[in-house]
Amino acid sequence: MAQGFSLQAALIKAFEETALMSGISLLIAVVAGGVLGLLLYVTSNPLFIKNRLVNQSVGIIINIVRSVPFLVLLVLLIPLSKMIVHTTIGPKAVVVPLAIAATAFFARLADASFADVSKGVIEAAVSTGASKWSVVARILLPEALPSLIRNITVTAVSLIGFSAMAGTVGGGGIGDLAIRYGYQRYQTDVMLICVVLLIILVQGVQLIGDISAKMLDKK
Amino acid sequence: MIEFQNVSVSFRQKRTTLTAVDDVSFSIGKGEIFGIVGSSGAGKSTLLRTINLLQGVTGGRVLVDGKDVTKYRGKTLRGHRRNIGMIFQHFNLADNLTARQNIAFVLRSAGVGREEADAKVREYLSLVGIPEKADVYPSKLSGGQKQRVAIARALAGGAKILLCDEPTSALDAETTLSILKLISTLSKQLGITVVIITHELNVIKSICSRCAVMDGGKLVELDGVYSLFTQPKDGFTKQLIGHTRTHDLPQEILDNTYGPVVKLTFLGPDANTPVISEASSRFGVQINILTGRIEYIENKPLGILYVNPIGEEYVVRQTLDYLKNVVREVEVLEDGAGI
Repeated sequence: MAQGFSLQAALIKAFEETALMSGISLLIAVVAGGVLGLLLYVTSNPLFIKNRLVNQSVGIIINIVRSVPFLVLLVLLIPLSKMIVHTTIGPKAVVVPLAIAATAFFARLADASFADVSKGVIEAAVSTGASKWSVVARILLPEALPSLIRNITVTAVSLIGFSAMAGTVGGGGIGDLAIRYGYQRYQTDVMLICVVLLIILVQGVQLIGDISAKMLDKK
Repeated sequence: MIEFQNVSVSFRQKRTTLTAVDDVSFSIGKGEIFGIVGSSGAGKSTLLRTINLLQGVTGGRVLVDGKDVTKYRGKTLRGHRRNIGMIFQHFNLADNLTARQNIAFVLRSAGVGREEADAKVREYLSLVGIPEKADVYPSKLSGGQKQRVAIARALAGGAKILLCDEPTSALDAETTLSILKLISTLSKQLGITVVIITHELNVIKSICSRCAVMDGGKLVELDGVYSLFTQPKDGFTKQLIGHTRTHDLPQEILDNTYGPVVKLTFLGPDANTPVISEASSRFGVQINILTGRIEYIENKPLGILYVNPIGEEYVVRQTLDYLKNVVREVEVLEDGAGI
Protein backbone atom coordinates (compact mmCIF):
# COMPACT_ATOMS: atom_id res chain seq x y z
CA MET A 1 0.00 0.00 0.00
CA ALA A 2 2.80 2.35 0.95
CA GLN A 3 4.40 1.72 -2.43
CA GLY A 4 1.14 2.50 -4.22
CA PHE A 5 0.97 5.83 -2.45
CA SER A 6 4.51 6.75 -3.40
CA LEU A 7 3.80 5.74 -7.00
CA GLN A 8 0.90 8.15 -7.08
CA ALA A 9 3.10 10.92 -5.73
CA ALA A 10 5.80 10.04 -8.27
CA LEU A 11 3.27 10.12 -11.09
CA ILE A 12 1.96 13.53 -10.05
CA LYS A 13 5.49 14.88 -9.78
CA ALA A 14 6.39 13.40 -13.18
CA PHE A 15 3.28 14.83 -14.74
CA GLU A 16 4.09 18.26 -13.36
CA GLU A 17 7.63 18.05 -14.66
CA THR A 18 6.49 17.04 -18.13
CA ALA A 19 3.86 19.78 -18.18
CA LEU A 20 6.38 22.36 -16.99
CA MET A 21 9.12 21.39 -19.47
CA SER A 22 6.78 21.08 -22.44
CA GLY A 23 4.71 24.12 -21.51
CA ILE A 24 7.56 26.59 -21.11
CA SER A 25 9.39 25.28 -24.18
CA LEU A 26 6.19 25.47 -26.21
CA LEU A 27 5.62 29.06 -25.17
CA ILE A 28 9.16 30.02 -26.20
CA ALA A 29 8.92 28.00 -29.43
CA VAL A 30 5.63 29.61 -30.47
CA VAL A 31 6.98 33.11 -29.98
CA ALA A 32 10.53 32.62 -31.28
CA GLY A 33 9.61 30.05 -33.93
CA GLY A 34 6.64 32.15 -34.99
CA VAL A 35 8.88 35.16 -35.50
CA LEU A 36 11.45 33.08 -37.41
CA GLY A 37 8.70 31.53 -39.52
CA LEU A 38 7.35 34.97 -40.30
CA LEU A 39 10.86 36.09 -41.20
CA LEU A 40 11.21 33.11 -43.55
CA TYR A 41 7.88 33.97 -45.13
CA VAL A 42 8.32 37.71 -45.62
CA THR A 43 11.83 37.27 -47.02
CA SER A 44 10.53 34.81 -49.61
CA ASN A 45 7.55 36.87 -50.78
CA PRO A 46 8.16 39.74 -53.24
CA LEU A 47 5.07 41.53 -51.89
CA PHE A 48 6.90 41.94 -48.57
CA ILE A 49 10.69 42.15 -48.26
CA LYS A 50 12.03 39.38 -50.46
CA ASN A 51 15.65 38.80 -49.51
CA ARG A 52 17.32 35.58 -50.55
CA LEU A 53 20.38 36.06 -48.36
CA VAL A 54 18.40 36.47 -45.14
CA ASN A 55 15.95 33.75 -46.13
CA GLN A 56 18.60 31.18 -46.89
CA SER A 57 20.76 32.04 -43.88
CA VAL A 58 17.83 31.61 -41.50
CA GLY A 59 16.83 28.45 -43.35
CA ILE A 60 20.29 26.94 -42.97
CA ILE A 61 20.47 27.72 -39.24
CA ILE A 62 17.08 26.09 -38.73
CA ASN A 63 18.17 23.06 -40.71
CA ILE A 64 21.33 22.68 -38.65
CA VAL A 65 19.35 22.64 -35.41
CA ARG A 66 16.86 20.22 -36.90
CA SER A 67 19.57 17.84 -38.15
CA VAL A 68 20.92 17.19 -34.67
CA PRO A 69 19.07 14.32 -32.94
CA PHE A 70 17.40 15.63 -29.80
CA LEU A 71 19.34 13.37 -27.48
CA VAL A 72 22.60 14.76 -28.89
CA LEU A 73 21.30 18.32 -28.72
CA LEU A 74 20.41 17.76 -25.08
CA VAL A 75 24.02 16.93 -24.24
CA LEU A 76 25.53 19.39 -26.69
CA LEU A 77 23.67 22.31 -25.15
CA ILE A 78 24.64 21.59 -21.54
CA PRO A 79 27.07 24.53 -21.46
CA LEU A 80 24.40 26.83 -22.85
CA SER A 81 21.88 25.64 -20.27
CA LYS A 82 24.42 26.39 -17.57
CA MET A 83 24.86 29.92 -18.91
CA ILE A 84 21.16 30.65 -19.17
CA VAL A 85 19.54 28.84 -16.20
CA HIS A 86 22.69 28.30 -14.11
CA THR A 87 22.16 24.58 -13.79
CA THR A 88 22.86 21.55 -15.93
CA ILE A 89 20.36 19.16 -14.36
CA GLY A 90 16.65 19.12 -13.64
CA PRO A 91 13.63 20.23 -15.65
CA LYS A 92 14.86 23.82 -15.85
CA ALA A 93 18.03 22.73 -17.63
CA VAL A 94 16.04 20.65 -20.11
CA VAL A 95 13.90 23.61 -21.09
CA VAL A 96 16.84 25.19 -22.98
CA PRO A 97 17.49 22.41 -25.51
CA LEU A 98 13.75 21.61 -25.70
CA ALA A 99 12.90 25.21 -26.51
CA ILE A 100 15.65 25.46 -29.12
CA ALA A 101 14.67 22.23 -30.85
CA ALA A 102 10.98 23.15 -30.79
CA THR A 103 11.69 26.67 -32.06
CA ALA A 104 13.44 25.31 -35.13
CA PHE A 105 10.67 22.76 -35.62
CA PHE A 106 7.86 25.29 -35.28
CA ALA A 107 9.60 27.93 -37.43
CA ARG A 108 9.32 25.63 -40.46
CA LEU A 109 5.70 24.81 -39.71
CA ALA A 110 4.82 28.47 -39.17
CA ASP A 111 6.47 29.40 -42.47
CA ALA A 112 4.30 26.76 -44.16
CA SER A 113 1.20 28.13 -42.41
CA PHE A 114 1.92 31.64 -43.67
CA ALA A 115 2.75 30.41 -47.17
CA ASP A 116 -0.60 28.61 -47.25
CA VAL A 117 -2.48 31.89 -47.01
CA SER A 118 -3.85 32.67 -50.46
CA LYS A 119 -1.44 34.86 -52.44
CA GLY A 120 -4.43 36.60 -53.94
CA VAL A 121 -5.72 37.68 -50.54
CA ILE A 122 -2.30 39.12 -49.67
CA GLU A 123 -2.05 40.82 -53.04
CA ALA A 124 -5.50 42.34 -52.58
CA ALA A 125 -4.51 43.62 -49.14
CA VAL A 126 -1.27 45.12 -50.46
CA SER A 127 -3.18 46.73 -53.35
CA THR A 128 -5.24 48.76 -50.88
CA GLY A 129 -2.17 50.74 -49.88
CA ALA A 130 -1.98 49.23 -46.39
CA SER A 131 1.50 49.07 -44.88
CA LYS A 132 3.33 45.75 -44.80
CA TRP A 133 3.02 45.62 -41.05
CA SER A 134 -0.71 46.23 -41.30
CA VAL A 135 -1.10 43.45 -43.85
CA VAL A 136 0.83 41.07 -41.59
CA ALA A 137 -1.08 41.97 -38.43
CA ARG A 138 -4.60 42.40 -39.80
CA ILE A 139 -4.70 39.94 -42.70
CA LEU A 140 -1.85 37.43 -42.69
CA LEU A 141 -2.08 36.46 -39.01
CA PRO A 142 -5.87 36.02 -38.84
CA GLU A 143 -5.81 34.07 -42.10
CA ALA A 144 -2.97 31.81 -40.95
CA LEU A 145 -4.26 31.41 -37.39
CA PRO A 146 -6.22 28.13 -37.71
CA SER A 147 -3.27 26.51 -39.48
CA LEU A 148 -0.84 27.97 -36.91
CA ILE A 149 -2.94 26.48 -34.10
CA ARG A 150 -2.82 23.07 -35.77
CA ASN A 151 0.95 23.36 -36.08
CA ILE A 152 1.30 24.50 -32.46
CA THR A 153 -0.55 21.30 -31.55
CA VAL A 154 1.87 19.21 -33.61
CA THR A 155 4.77 20.97 -31.90
CA ALA A 156 3.26 20.40 -28.44
CA VAL A 157 2.85 16.69 -29.08
CA SER A 158 6.44 16.43 -30.35
CA LEU A 159 7.62 18.30 -27.27
CA ILE A 160 5.92 15.82 -24.97
CA GLY A 161 7.78 13.10 -26.86
CA PHE A 162 11.11 14.92 -26.71
CA SER A 163 10.69 15.59 -23.01
CA ALA A 164 10.79 11.83 -22.37
CA MET A 165 14.52 12.02 -23.03
CA ALA A 166 14.92 14.59 -20.30
CA GLY A 167 15.87 11.86 -17.87
CA THR A 168 19.30 11.79 -19.47
CA VAL A 169 20.14 15.03 -17.70
CA GLY A 170 17.94 14.42 -14.70
CA GLY A 171 15.01 16.37 -15.99
CA GLY A 172 12.38 13.96 -14.78
CA GLY A 173 8.95 13.74 -16.34
CA ILE A 174 6.62 10.88 -17.25
CA GLY A 175 8.93 9.37 -19.85
CA ASP A 176 11.78 9.33 -17.36
CA LEU A 177 9.58 7.63 -14.78
CA ALA A 178 8.64 4.97 -17.30
CA ILE A 179 12.29 4.23 -18.07
CA ARG A 180 13.57 4.25 -14.48
CA TYR A 181 10.79 2.21 -12.88
CA GLY A 182 9.24 0.39 -15.74
CA TYR A 183 12.38 -0.60 -17.62
CA GLN A 184 15.29 -0.47 -15.22
CA ARG A 185 13.35 -1.90 -12.25
CA TYR A 186 11.12 -4.29 -14.23
CA GLN A 187 7.91 -2.67 -12.93
CA THR A 188 5.83 -3.20 -16.02
CA ASP A 189 2.73 -1.79 -14.31
CA VAL A 190 4.47 1.57 -13.81
CA MET A 191 5.55 1.51 -17.44
CA LEU A 192 1.97 0.89 -18.57
CA ILE A 193 0.52 3.57 -16.32
CA CYS A 194 3.05 6.05 -17.71
CA VAL A 195 2.20 5.10 -21.27
CA VAL A 196 -1.53 5.48 -20.59
CA LEU A 197 -0.88 8.85 -18.94
CA LEU A 198 1.10 10.00 -22.00
CA ILE A 199 -1.64 8.82 -24.33
CA ILE A 200 -4.26 10.75 -22.36
CA LEU A 201 -2.03 13.84 -22.32
CA VAL A 202 -1.39 13.73 -26.06
CA GLN A 203 -5.06 13.07 -26.87
CA GLY A 204 -6.06 15.99 -24.66
CA VAL A 205 -3.62 18.37 -26.30
CA GLN A 206 -4.70 17.24 -29.76
CA LEU A 207 -8.37 17.64 -28.86
CA ILE A 208 -7.90 21.17 -27.55
CA GLY A 209 -5.88 22.05 -30.66
CA ASP A 210 -8.45 20.61 -33.04
CA ILE A 211 -11.37 22.33 -31.35
CA SER A 212 -9.75 25.75 -31.22
CA ALA A 213 -8.52 25.53 -34.83
CA LYS A 214 -11.99 24.57 -35.97
CA MET A 215 -13.57 27.40 -34.03
CA LEU A 216 -11.24 29.97 -35.54
CA ASP A 217 -11.48 28.69 -39.10
CA LYS A 218 -14.30 30.46 -40.94
CA LYS A 219 -13.33 29.13 -44.35
CA MET B 1 -6.04 59.92 -66.37
CA ILE B 2 -3.97 56.79 -66.97
CA GLU B 3 -1.32 56.82 -69.66
CA PHE B 4 1.00 54.02 -70.69
CA GLN B 5 4.12 55.23 -72.47
CA ASN B 6 6.16 52.47 -74.12
CA VAL B 7 5.56 50.19 -71.17
CA SER B 8 7.48 46.92 -71.16
CA VAL B 9 7.61 44.24 -68.50
CA SER B 10 9.91 41.28 -68.80
CA PHE B 11 10.68 38.50 -66.41
CA ARG B 12 14.11 36.98 -66.29
CA GLN B 13 13.78 33.24 -66.13
CA LYS B 14 16.63 30.79 -65.77
CA ARG B 15 18.19 31.37 -69.19
CA THR B 16 15.60 33.26 -71.19
CA THR B 17 13.73 36.48 -70.71
CA LEU B 18 9.99 36.40 -71.01
CA THR B 19 8.47 39.62 -72.25
CA ALA B 20 4.97 39.81 -70.83
CA VAL B 21 4.24 43.37 -71.94
CA ASP B 22 6.00 44.67 -75.02
CA ASP B 23 6.22 48.41 -75.71
CA VAL B 24 2.60 49.28 -75.01
CA SER B 25 1.37 52.87 -75.30
CA PHE B 26 -2.15 54.20 -74.92
CA SER B 27 -4.20 56.26 -72.56
CA ILE B 28 -7.44 55.92 -70.66
CA GLY B 29 -9.66 58.92 -70.03
CA LYS B 30 -11.18 60.08 -66.76
CA GLY B 31 -14.51 58.44 -65.96
CA GLU B 32 -14.12 55.99 -68.81
CA ILE B 33 -14.92 52.28 -68.56
CA PHE B 34 -12.06 50.82 -70.50
CA GLY B 35 -11.67 47.18 -71.45
CA ILE B 36 -8.56 45.18 -72.22
CA VAL B 37 -9.12 41.81 -73.91
CA GLY B 38 -6.80 39.10 -75.05
CA SER B 39 -6.27 35.41 -74.62
CA SER B 40 -4.56 34.17 -71.47
CA GLY B 41 -0.88 35.01 -71.40
CA ALA B 42 -1.40 38.11 -73.54
CA GLY B 43 0.04 40.29 -70.79
CA LYS B 44 -3.16 42.10 -69.91
CA SER B 45 -3.06 41.17 -66.24
CA THR B 46 0.58 42.23 -66.00
CA LEU B 47 -0.20 45.54 -67.70
CA LEU B 48 -3.09 46.20 -65.30
CA ARG B 49 -0.81 45.63 -62.31
CA THR B 50 1.67 48.26 -63.48
CA ILE B 51 -0.97 50.89 -62.68
CA ASN B 52 -0.85 50.23 -58.93
CA LEU B 53 2.68 48.85 -59.02
CA LEU B 54 1.82 45.35 -57.94
CA GLN B 55 4.05 44.86 -60.96
CA GLY B 56 7.07 47.02 -61.70
CA VAL B 57 7.96 47.97 -65.26
CA THR B 58 11.23 47.17 -67.00
CA GLY B 59 10.79 49.96 -69.52
CA GLY B 60 8.61 52.98 -70.21
CA ARG B 61 6.43 55.02 -67.91
CA VAL B 62 2.96 54.78 -66.44
CA LEU B 63 1.38 58.15 -65.79
CA VAL B 64 -1.58 58.56 -63.48
CA ASP B 65 -2.96 62.11 -63.39
CA GLY B 66 0.14 63.17 -65.30
CA LYS B 67 2.58 61.81 -62.73
CA ASP B 68 4.98 58.96 -63.43
CA VAL B 69 4.13 56.35 -60.81
CA THR B 70 6.73 53.73 -61.71
CA LYS B 71 9.32 55.14 -59.32
CA TYR B 72 6.97 55.40 -56.34
CA ARG B 73 8.22 53.70 -53.17
CA GLY B 74 7.20 53.48 -49.52
CA LYS B 75 4.75 56.08 -48.30
CA THR B 76 4.20 57.67 -51.71
CA LEU B 77 3.44 54.28 -53.19
CA ARG B 78 0.96 53.45 -50.43
CA GLY B 79 -0.75 56.81 -50.92
CA HIS B 80 -0.95 56.11 -54.66
CA ARG B 81 -2.43 52.65 -54.05
CA ARG B 82 -5.08 54.11 -51.74
CA ASN B 83 -6.40 56.05 -54.72
CA ILE B 84 -6.78 52.88 -56.75
CA GLY B 85 -9.15 50.07 -55.86
CA MET B 86 -8.77 46.61 -57.29
CA ILE B 87 -11.04 43.61 -57.62
CA PHE B 88 -10.16 40.09 -58.68
CA GLN B 89 -11.54 36.99 -60.35
CA HIS B 90 -11.51 35.02 -57.10
CA PHE B 91 -12.57 38.02 -54.98
CA ASN B 92 -9.59 37.58 -52.62
CA LEU B 93 -11.45 38.40 -49.44
CA ALA B 94 -9.86 37.35 -46.17
CA ASP B 95 -11.82 34.23 -45.17
CA ASN B 96 -11.43 34.72 -41.45
CA LEU B 97 -12.74 38.28 -41.50
CA THR B 98 -16.39 39.27 -41.88
CA ALA B 99 -17.55 41.46 -44.76
CA ARG B 100 -17.40 44.44 -42.41
CA GLN B 101 -13.87 43.58 -41.23
CA ASN B 102 -12.66 43.06 -44.79
CA ILE B 103 -13.79 46.55 -45.76
CA ALA B 104 -12.76 48.15 -42.48
CA PHE B 105 -9.22 46.82 -42.98
CA VAL B 106 -8.63 49.31 -45.79
CA LEU B 107 -9.91 52.22 -43.76
CA ARG B 108 -8.26 51.29 -40.47
CA SER B 109 -4.87 50.79 -42.08
CA ALA B 110 -5.25 54.18 -43.75
CA GLY B 111 -5.57 55.66 -40.27
CA VAL B 112 -9.33 56.25 -40.26
CA GLY B 113 -10.84 56.15 -36.76
CA ARG B 114 -13.02 53.26 -35.67
CA GLU B 115 -16.34 55.11 -35.71
CA GLU B 116 -15.76 56.84 -39.02
CA ALA B 117 -14.61 53.54 -40.53
CA ASP B 118 -17.76 51.85 -39.27
CA ALA B 119 -19.97 54.48 -40.85
CA LYS B 120 -18.07 54.19 -44.15
CA VAL B 121 -18.39 50.41 -44.12
CA ARG B 122 -22.14 50.71 -43.70
CA GLU B 123 -22.36 53.34 -46.42
CA TYR B 124 -20.44 51.23 -48.94
CA LEU B 125 -22.20 47.98 -48.11
CA SER B 126 -25.47 49.75 -48.89
CA LEU B 127 -23.97 51.19 -52.05
CA VAL B 128 -23.16 47.70 -53.32
CA GLY B 129 -26.60 46.47 -52.28
CA ILE B 130 -25.84 44.08 -49.41
CA PRO B 131 -26.19 46.14 -46.21
CA GLU B 132 -27.50 43.10 -44.32
CA LYS B 133 -24.34 41.05 -44.90
CA ALA B 134 -22.00 43.12 -42.71
CA ASP B 135 -21.28 40.44 -40.14
CA VAL B 136 -21.23 37.46 -42.47
CA TYR B 137 -18.04 35.57 -43.28
CA PRO B 138 -17.15 35.21 -46.99
CA SER B 139 -17.73 31.44 -46.97
CA LYS B 140 -21.42 32.14 -46.31
CA LEU B 141 -21.72 34.54 -49.23
CA SER B 142 -22.49 33.73 -52.87
CA GLY B 143 -19.98 34.57 -55.59
CA GLY B 144 -21.85 37.71 -56.56
CA GLN B 145 -22.10 38.85 -52.94
CA LYS B 146 -18.37 38.25 -52.43
CA GLN B 147 -17.59 40.40 -55.44
CA ARG B 148 -19.88 43.09 -54.04
CA VAL B 149 -17.95 43.07 -50.77
CA ALA B 150 -14.72 43.21 -52.80
CA ILE B 151 -16.03 46.24 -54.72
CA ALA B 152 -16.96 47.94 -51.45
CA ARG B 153 -13.47 47.19 -50.11
CA ALA B 154 -11.90 48.58 -53.27
CA LEU B 155 -13.84 51.83 -53.18
CA ALA B 156 -14.43 52.53 -49.47
CA GLY B 157 -11.13 54.38 -49.14
CA GLY B 158 -12.28 56.90 -51.74
CA ALA B 159 -10.47 55.42 -54.75
CA LYS B 160 -10.93 57.23 -58.04
CA ILE B 161 -9.75 54.35 -60.21
CA LEU B 162 -11.08 50.78 -60.13
CA LEU B 163 -8.95 48.02 -61.62
CA CYS B 164 -10.85 44.85 -62.42
CA ASP B 165 -8.92 41.66 -63.05
CA GLU B 166 -11.36 39.23 -64.70
CA PRO B 167 -14.08 40.41 -62.29
CA THR B 168 -16.82 38.13 -63.57
CA SER B 169 -14.94 35.08 -64.83
CA ALA B 170 -15.91 33.05 -61.76
CA LEU B 171 -19.56 34.09 -61.88
CA ASP B 172 -22.60 32.74 -63.73
CA ALA B 173 -24.16 34.72 -66.56
CA GLU B 174 -26.90 36.32 -64.50
CA THR B 175 -24.59 37.38 -61.67
CA THR B 176 -22.09 38.65 -64.23
CA LEU B 177 -24.71 41.03 -65.57
CA SER B 178 -25.66 42.32 -62.13
CA ILE B 179 -22.02 42.91 -61.17
CA LEU B 180 -21.29 44.70 -64.45
CA LYS B 181 -24.35 46.84 -63.93
CA LEU B 182 -23.16 47.71 -60.43
CA ILE B 183 -19.69 48.66 -61.68
CA SER B 184 -21.16 50.81 -64.40
CA THR B 185 -23.58 52.53 -61.99
CA LEU B 186 -20.85 53.21 -59.43
CA SER B 187 -18.57 54.53 -62.13
CA LYS B 188 -21.16 57.12 -63.12
CA GLN B 189 -22.31 57.87 -59.58
CA LEU B 190 -18.84 58.32 -58.08
CA GLY B 191 -17.01 59.45 -61.21
CA ILE B 192 -14.65 56.51 -61.14
CA THR B 193 -12.39 55.46 -63.98
CA VAL B 194 -12.68 51.71 -64.54
CA VAL B 195 -10.18 49.44 -66.25
CA ILE B 196 -11.45 45.90 -66.86
CA ILE B 197 -9.41 43.06 -68.18
CA THR B 198 -11.26 40.01 -69.32
CA HIS B 199 -11.34 37.26 -71.86
CA GLU B 200 -15.13 37.44 -72.02
CA LEU B 201 -16.21 39.57 -74.93
CA ASN B 202 -19.67 39.93 -73.43
CA VAL B 203 -18.20 41.90 -70.55
CA ILE B 204 -16.61 44.34 -72.97
CA LYS B 205 -19.81 44.60 -75.02
CA SER B 206 -21.99 45.24 -71.99
CA ILE B 207 -20.19 48.06 -70.25
CA CYS B 208 -17.03 49.31 -71.94
CA SER B 209 -16.85 52.35 -74.15
CA ARG B 210 -13.39 51.67 -75.54
CA CYS B 211 -11.31 48.56 -75.63
CA ALA B 212 -7.71 47.56 -76.23
CA VAL B 213 -6.84 44.19 -77.70
CA MET B 214 -3.60 42.55 -76.60
CA ASP B 215 -1.80 39.61 -78.11
CA GLY B 216 1.62 38.30 -77.14
CA GLY B 217 2.31 41.28 -74.90
CA LYS B 218 1.61 43.80 -77.66
CA LEU B 219 -1.27 46.17 -78.16
CA VAL B 220 -2.74 45.09 -81.48
CA GLU B 221 -5.83 47.24 -81.70
CA LEU B 222 -7.62 49.95 -79.76
CA ASP B 223 -10.97 51.33 -80.70
CA GLY B 224 -14.44 52.24 -79.53
CA VAL B 225 -16.24 49.03 -78.62
CA TYR B 226 -18.88 49.30 -81.34
CA SER B 227 -16.36 49.79 -84.15
CA LEU B 228 -14.15 47.09 -82.68
CA PHE B 229 -16.93 44.55 -82.77
CA THR B 230 -18.40 45.60 -86.08
CA GLN B 231 -15.27 46.48 -88.04
CA PRO B 232 -12.23 44.85 -86.47
CA LYS B 233 -9.03 45.69 -88.35
CA ASP B 234 -6.33 43.49 -86.88
CA GLY B 235 -6.21 39.82 -87.78
CA PHE B 236 -6.10 38.70 -84.15
CA THR B 237 -9.09 40.85 -83.26
CA LYS B 238 -11.01 39.41 -86.18
CA GLN B 239 -10.24 35.93 -84.98
CA LEU B 240 -11.17 36.81 -81.39
CA ILE B 241 -14.44 38.42 -82.40
CA GLY B 242 -15.07 35.89 -85.14
CA HIS B 243 -16.04 33.36 -82.53
CA THR B 244 -19.05 35.42 -81.64
CA ARG B 245 -19.95 36.12 -85.24
CA THR B 246 -19.96 32.73 -86.92
CA HIS B 247 -23.08 30.68 -87.21
CA ASP B 248 -23.61 27.32 -85.59
CA LEU B 249 -25.92 25.90 -88.23
CA PRO B 250 -25.74 22.13 -88.46
CA GLN B 251 -24.23 20.88 -91.70
CA GLU B 252 -27.37 18.80 -92.28
CA ILE B 253 -29.50 21.94 -92.50
CA LEU B 254 -27.06 23.57 -94.91
CA ASP B 255 -27.04 20.44 -97.08
CA ASN B 256 -30.81 20.35 -97.27
CA THR B 257 -31.42 23.96 -98.24
CA TYR B 258 -32.24 24.84 -101.81
CA GLY B 259 -30.98 28.13 -103.07
CA PRO B 260 -28.22 30.27 -101.61
CA VAL B 261 -27.50 30.74 -97.92
CA VAL B 262 -26.71 34.36 -97.30
CA LYS B 263 -25.16 36.01 -94.27
CA LEU B 264 -26.43 39.52 -93.68
CA THR B 265 -24.68 41.85 -91.24
CA PHE B 266 -26.59 44.94 -90.21
CA LEU B 267 -24.81 47.80 -88.55
CA GLY B 268 -26.16 50.87 -86.84
CA PRO B 269 -29.26 52.33 -88.49
CA ASP B 270 -29.47 49.57 -91.16
CA ALA B 271 -30.72 47.23 -88.51
CA ASN B 272 -33.84 49.30 -88.13
CA THR B 273 -35.00 48.90 -91.77
CA PRO B 274 -37.32 45.97 -92.45
CA VAL B 275 -35.29 44.74 -95.46
CA ILE B 276 -36.49 41.15 -95.34
CA SER B 277 -40.18 41.90 -95.64
CA GLU B 278 -39.36 44.66 -98.12
CA ALA B 279 -37.49 42.21 -100.39
CA SER B 280 -40.15 39.62 -99.97
CA SER B 281 -43.00 41.88 -101.04
CA ARG B 282 -41.01 43.61 -103.76
CA PHE B 283 -39.75 40.48 -105.56
CA GLY B 284 -42.24 37.89 -104.46
CA VAL B 285 -39.45 35.83 -102.96
CA GLN B 286 -39.76 33.62 -99.90
CA ILE B 287 -37.08 34.31 -97.38
CA ASN B 288 -36.40 31.65 -94.84
CA ILE B 289 -34.46 32.81 -91.77
CA LEU B 290 -32.12 30.02 -90.67
CA THR B 291 -30.52 31.65 -87.65
CA GLY B 292 -29.57 35.06 -86.47
CA ARG B 293 -29.42 37.52 -83.65
CA ILE B 294 -29.41 41.18 -82.99
CA GLU B 295 -27.38 42.57 -80.13
CA TYR B 296 -26.87 46.04 -78.84
CA ILE B 297 -23.40 47.36 -78.17
CA GLU B 298 -23.22 50.84 -76.69
CA ASN B 299 -26.97 50.96 -77.46
CA LYS B 300 -26.28 50.56 -81.17
CA PRO B 301 -27.63 47.47 -82.90
CA LEU B 302 -25.47 44.83 -84.55
CA GLY B 303 -27.56 42.26 -86.38
CA ILE B 304 -26.47 39.09 -88.09
CA LEU B 305 -28.94 36.99 -90.04
CA TYR B 306 -28.48 33.82 -92.04
CA VAL B 307 -31.23 33.66 -94.64
CA ASN B 308 -32.19 31.40 -97.47
CA PRO B 309 -34.14 33.11 -100.29
CA ILE B 310 -36.35 30.65 -102.14
CA GLY B 311 -37.83 31.29 -105.57
CA GLU B 312 -37.11 31.43 -109.32
CA GLU B 313 -33.44 31.89 -110.10
CA TYR B 314 -33.80 35.44 -111.46
CA VAL B 315 -35.96 36.46 -108.53
CA VAL B 316 -33.31 35.19 -106.13
CA ARG B 317 -30.62 37.09 -108.06
CA GLN B 318 -32.69 40.28 -107.93
CA THR B 319 -33.17 39.79 -104.20
CA LEU B 320 -29.43 39.38 -103.67
CA ASP B 321 -28.69 42.54 -105.68
CA TYR B 322 -31.25 44.43 -103.63
CA LEU B 323 -29.82 43.15 -100.34
CA LYS B 324 -26.28 44.07 -101.38
CA ASN B 325 -27.50 47.60 -101.86
CA VAL B 326 -29.24 48.08 -98.54
CA VAL B 327 -27.36 45.86 -96.12
CA ARG B 328 -23.86 46.71 -94.87
CA GLU B 329 -22.34 43.27 -95.44
CA VAL B 330 -23.72 40.50 -97.58
CA GLU B 331 -21.90 37.25 -97.86
CA VAL B 332 -23.17 34.36 -99.98
CA LEU B 333 -22.09 31.21 -98.24
CA GLU B 334 -23.69 28.66 -100.54
CA ASP B 335 -24.55 29.56 -104.09
CA GLY B 336 -27.57 27.38 -104.34
CA ALA B 337 -26.11 24.60 -106.46
CA GLY B 338 -28.69 22.42 -104.84
CA ILE B 339 -31.45 23.70 -107.10
